[in-house]
Amino acid sequence: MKENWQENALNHFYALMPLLFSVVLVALSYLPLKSSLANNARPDIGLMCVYFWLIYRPDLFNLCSVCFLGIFVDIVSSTPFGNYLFSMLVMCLLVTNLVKYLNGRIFVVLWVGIAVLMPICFFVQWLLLSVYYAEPLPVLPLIFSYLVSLAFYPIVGGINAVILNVFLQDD
Amino acid sequence: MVKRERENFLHFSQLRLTIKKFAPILAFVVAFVFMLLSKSENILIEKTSGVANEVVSSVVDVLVLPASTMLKGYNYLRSLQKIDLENQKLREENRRLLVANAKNRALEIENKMLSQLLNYAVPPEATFVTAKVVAEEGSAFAHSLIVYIAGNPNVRKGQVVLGQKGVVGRVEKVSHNYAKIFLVNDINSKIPVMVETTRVRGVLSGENDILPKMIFVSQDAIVNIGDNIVTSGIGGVFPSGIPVGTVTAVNKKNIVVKPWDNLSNLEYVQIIDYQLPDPTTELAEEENIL
Repeated sequence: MKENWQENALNHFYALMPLLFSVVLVALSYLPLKSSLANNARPDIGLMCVYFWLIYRPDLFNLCSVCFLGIFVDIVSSTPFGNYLFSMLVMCLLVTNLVKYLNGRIFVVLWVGIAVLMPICFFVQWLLLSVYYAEPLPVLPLIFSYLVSLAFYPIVGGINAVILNVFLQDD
Repeated sequence: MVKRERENFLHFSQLRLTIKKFAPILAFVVAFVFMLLSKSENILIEKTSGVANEVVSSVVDVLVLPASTMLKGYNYLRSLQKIDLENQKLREENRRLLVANAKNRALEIENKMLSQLLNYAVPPEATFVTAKVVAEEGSAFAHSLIVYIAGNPNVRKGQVVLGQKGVVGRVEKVSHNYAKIFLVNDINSKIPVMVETTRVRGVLSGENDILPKMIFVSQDAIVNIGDNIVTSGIGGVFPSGIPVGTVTAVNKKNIVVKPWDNLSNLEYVQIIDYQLPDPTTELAEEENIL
């Protein structure tokens, strides 16, 4: 009975692992780095995690996980509440419809995939916030943020791939 | 009995399928409603987000701690290389400061005497709260800090935040142990400022760009590169005369101001308590009146 309970708890923990690690990675992206680059164009780790886990483990990282992560980022961030949730839902919608073209492909294809999908999410965010503030936000920092996020994808994807291979491959 | 159970099961399955089908749409609607609610600045939303902010900031603080300690250690080792040079610089600076201090003391006494002669009403003394930067956000959409205020009750929304040399932002949200600060280059930041020498007034406005801009400056006003910008104190939110930055570019469209402090390099900040009324209390009072 006790063993059964422990096994259940462990299974639940493994099922929550993608979300937990995404939360940790997102939290780490807010680390004060004392760098001009970090202060102006931090990579959007949340979007990258949503993209990665929805391709590899959509059974463990579902809509609820996307909503939880989105709300978490919205609380930490100082942007209007709901903005990051909205952009992550857009990413979720895009990935769930394109997963058959992305799953099982080599890394470069996934990189190209996020390079195509991320601007759509960024644009939606830009549009929402421009309407919210009633003035168009500058585009240049947005492009810069996009490029930095794209450059960081191999690192974030690599960390997530390690978690996937070490903890979540057998079940 | 079995038939009824089967019917219930079918109904339940259908309900689950319908929910699953409409869940993404519902999630989009919820996200949109959240944005609308955050625009409304309702007291209930403010308080709820304050509690959520407290919980999440604590989580971020704990998660960031090991990485931040490692980073500090790395920076310490790097600083050891420059310690001798820095020591010499500090000695020189100390000598200069001692002279300046003596001059300041003389000026202070003179100022007091002249104030007494003019019967000048002294503005309220500001008190400071020093807070440690726990997390920072810098992206195309926001520039902010989360600082640890250790449950200090004097920190309130709207208070001015200083770095080592001048204004870096203002307090936006306060929970029990943490406060969220909008930096001067965030789109939400609007600070009444003036040119120190010519007293030309304007508003320092963040645009989510690297540097903030001075707007609402009269067309015939002359502002030059290198002019110092200080707070004007208009609106009564910020005290006047606090250094903000220096003008780095002037063109037809913009006056670009570089803050005195490096916004990317803030470890501790000072939150000034200028005895402002608490906007949250005011909002609650207004709602009660209505």
